[in-house]
Amino acid sequence: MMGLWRGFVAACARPVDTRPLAVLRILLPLCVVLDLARVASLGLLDDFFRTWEHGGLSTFSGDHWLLGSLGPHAGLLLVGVLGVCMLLVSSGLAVRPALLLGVLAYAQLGHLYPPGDRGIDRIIRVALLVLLFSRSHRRWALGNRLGGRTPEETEPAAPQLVLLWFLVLVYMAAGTSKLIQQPDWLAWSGTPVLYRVLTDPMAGAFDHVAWSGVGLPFFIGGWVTILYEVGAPMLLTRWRHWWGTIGIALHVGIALTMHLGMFSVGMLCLYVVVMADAWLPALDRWQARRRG
Amino acid sequence: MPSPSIRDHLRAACVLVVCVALLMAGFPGLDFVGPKQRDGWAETARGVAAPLGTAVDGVVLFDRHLRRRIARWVKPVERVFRVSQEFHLYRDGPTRVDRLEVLVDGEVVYRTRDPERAWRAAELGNRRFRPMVATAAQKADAENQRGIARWIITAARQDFPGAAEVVIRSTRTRFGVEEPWVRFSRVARGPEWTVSAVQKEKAP
Repeated sequence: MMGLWRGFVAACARPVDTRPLAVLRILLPLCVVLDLARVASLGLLDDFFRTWEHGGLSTFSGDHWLLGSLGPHAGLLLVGVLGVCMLLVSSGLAVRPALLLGVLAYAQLGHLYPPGDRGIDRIIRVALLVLLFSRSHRRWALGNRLGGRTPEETEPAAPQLVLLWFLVLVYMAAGTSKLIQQPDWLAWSGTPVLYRVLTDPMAGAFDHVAWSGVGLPFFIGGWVTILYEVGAPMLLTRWRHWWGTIGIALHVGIALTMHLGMFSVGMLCLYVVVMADAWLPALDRWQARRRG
Repeated sequence: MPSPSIRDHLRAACVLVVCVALLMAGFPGLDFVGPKQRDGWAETARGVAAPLGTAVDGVVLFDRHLRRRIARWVKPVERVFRVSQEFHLYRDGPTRVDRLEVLVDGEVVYRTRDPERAWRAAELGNRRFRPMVATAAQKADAENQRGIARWIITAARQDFPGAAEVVIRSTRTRFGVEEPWVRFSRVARGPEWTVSAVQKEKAP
């Protein structure tokens, strides 16, 4: 037992490159900012982030919406706070306070307008919370330059392990819930479940009439989806970057065949960590070649 | 290899606590299954083989007496950061094709995912708006109906200043079949623009 514990302690303390989480720290907040910018460009900020009484879209807010006393503009104020915090995190300035405040503001916006707070928002918030406990703010960060700090090249593996564990749980929960509710995900006859998902006009990009006679690609897509999601523990092994290529293909496929906003882009950002063993050596080789 | 410091042990302990909390809050499979379904599984498993039934009973006990308790302790943190760990992403597609339509003075100006009837389609298709549109198209008594109706009527009055009537209706068809039928609708007429109660139609 002690040996097991020592192994776990060593795995958590093992020094790993800070660049994967630094890239995640840069990209993930940009997703949030671009998502909010899209909402603003459509003129929907007032509709989403006001209570029903103040002219908002949703007739209900979550029980944990706490800022109602600030009046009708509380939601817009939070959008501003979230946007500024995310830009600070991405640029590497005051990262930890901005992460904490930003995640709290993001959560309150979710409580204010629950229908618009989706799984990807929760996933991003968890990832941002993990970054809070990492050293990602000490690499590729403006704060280093302005504060005259030396960039940190390594950090303990603990935050990356937690992030990978979280991803495994997310995928496995998605996969098992699919199978429990609809075992036809593994069927090879009848109407493929994936056909219904991808031709549902609410989110899918395909026309249900034009694609009605096509079975095999949807069956195969469904099997691969289940295989990847239920096989997510592979992300904890040293083959994670091989397994991750299936995940990247899956999310690129979702981006091309469904209209889910930032879901695919947000998920793909997390693959910076999953695929670190593949892109870090390639980046190092490229930099070495440039230096001659 | 140097022996780990106190700091290393503390870090590992924190990681363990977080990982166990995440697991218990959203245990894949168990987070989705209700008590009835669990009991049904145990019954089925006992029918197949007694040891299998015992194993399922063990899982049920673990779920009831340990997992759910720990998950309850994690709840307050989940609420503060709104990070509920129940991830049931895209379990299933719908069994029918539902669409929302908006008619202004009898003309269809919006139909879900119809490029030729795309009034305000960018807004209604936004990822934060779409779940409301989907439930409003699927359920006649959805709580979202009021919000959707208010938004659509306000926008229609802005974009079609001379309009006298706005109809919001849900259509349904089977997968692979072209012709939809109207399931229910709501009507608002000027100058009051009060929205009528939902009018349900009989399925063909």
